[in-house]
Amino acid sequence: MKEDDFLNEYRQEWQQDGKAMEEALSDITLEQLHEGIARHEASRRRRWLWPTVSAAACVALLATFGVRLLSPEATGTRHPAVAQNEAPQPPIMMPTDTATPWADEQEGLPTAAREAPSAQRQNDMAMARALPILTEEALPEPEVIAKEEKAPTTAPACPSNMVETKRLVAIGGSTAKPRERETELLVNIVPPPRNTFHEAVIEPLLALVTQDLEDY
Amino acid sequence: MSEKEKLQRFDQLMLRHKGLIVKVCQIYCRRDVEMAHDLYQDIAVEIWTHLDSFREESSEATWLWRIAVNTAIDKLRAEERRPKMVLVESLPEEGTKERPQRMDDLYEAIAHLKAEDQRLVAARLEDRSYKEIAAETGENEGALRVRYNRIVNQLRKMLKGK
Repeated sequence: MKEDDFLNEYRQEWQQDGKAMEEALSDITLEQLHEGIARHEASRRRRWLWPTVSAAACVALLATFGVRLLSPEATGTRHPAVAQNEAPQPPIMMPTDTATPWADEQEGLPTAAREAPSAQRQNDMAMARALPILTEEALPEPEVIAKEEKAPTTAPACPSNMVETKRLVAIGGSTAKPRERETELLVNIVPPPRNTFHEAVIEPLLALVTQDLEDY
Repeated sequence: MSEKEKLQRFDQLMLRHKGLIVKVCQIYCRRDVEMAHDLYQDIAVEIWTHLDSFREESSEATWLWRIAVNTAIDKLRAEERRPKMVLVESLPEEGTKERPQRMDDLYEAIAHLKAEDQRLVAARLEDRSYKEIAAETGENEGALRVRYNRIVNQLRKMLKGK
């Protein structure tokens, strides 16, 4: 073939080089390859070991000075509301008034003008009914709610039970004030409890390092 | 796969496809035996490392060839980055060339081809028939011929520019 002719001039030298290379590499045995792999694995472990040991040493050093990583006490992120939340909660009063929630809105209208609520509206009202109703004493001060919600002053006044529903949604069924409740939730999410953190992260890490040091 | 099974599999692969690894060493190390030894070891380590991920989607030989070529390319790049120290006595005298330049140009041109094209050229330079290559790679003989013609044209252009 024409194309093969082009490479013919290289073919002989290529084959000679190939034979020479084959001879040169014939002394490589499987045992040598196994040794090479073992060396590679050991060096890979060493590469992994040093950062781990350094990290563990840093944690131990910090612990010596009494610093607990990510603990709420150390970082000062623990809010008093968390402690309050951990205390037993007061019993929740169940709703006693099962009257149709939209009845008040249409009160005073002639019967013909009263409209049946839409499916979405009915759903919203069912959800509002499902929320726990608090005792009057446990409800936050009305002025606090007004401040938090920043309702426009020009808005028409809502019927009394609508205001109550809004309050319930805002405080999420807790006796804490809205601002406290919000902070409480955030604090609960961000710093994990110290014991869990130690059990989940530090202890396995130290065990791993100890094991690896023994192997090494 | 247990460690013992993995080791057995590795040994089988290395024995069965030693010729392929030698070919890759020839293409990328030309006549540098010392470098070829290192490359052979590096390829073995890479095969070992990736053995668990071999899903048999391609043939063993194709998978192994790709690993070998990629390892060789990585090694050459690393070598290029490393500062070289050469003894003055070992430098070739001016006007003489230690290796035939013509062959070096061919090796360089082949090294620039795609991994599967390199394999085809190497096999053809070894005087292996299309039928044999097709049986090994699982490709159609006709398709191999067409591909080989295209590769040869490509090589011709590359070598003409030298």
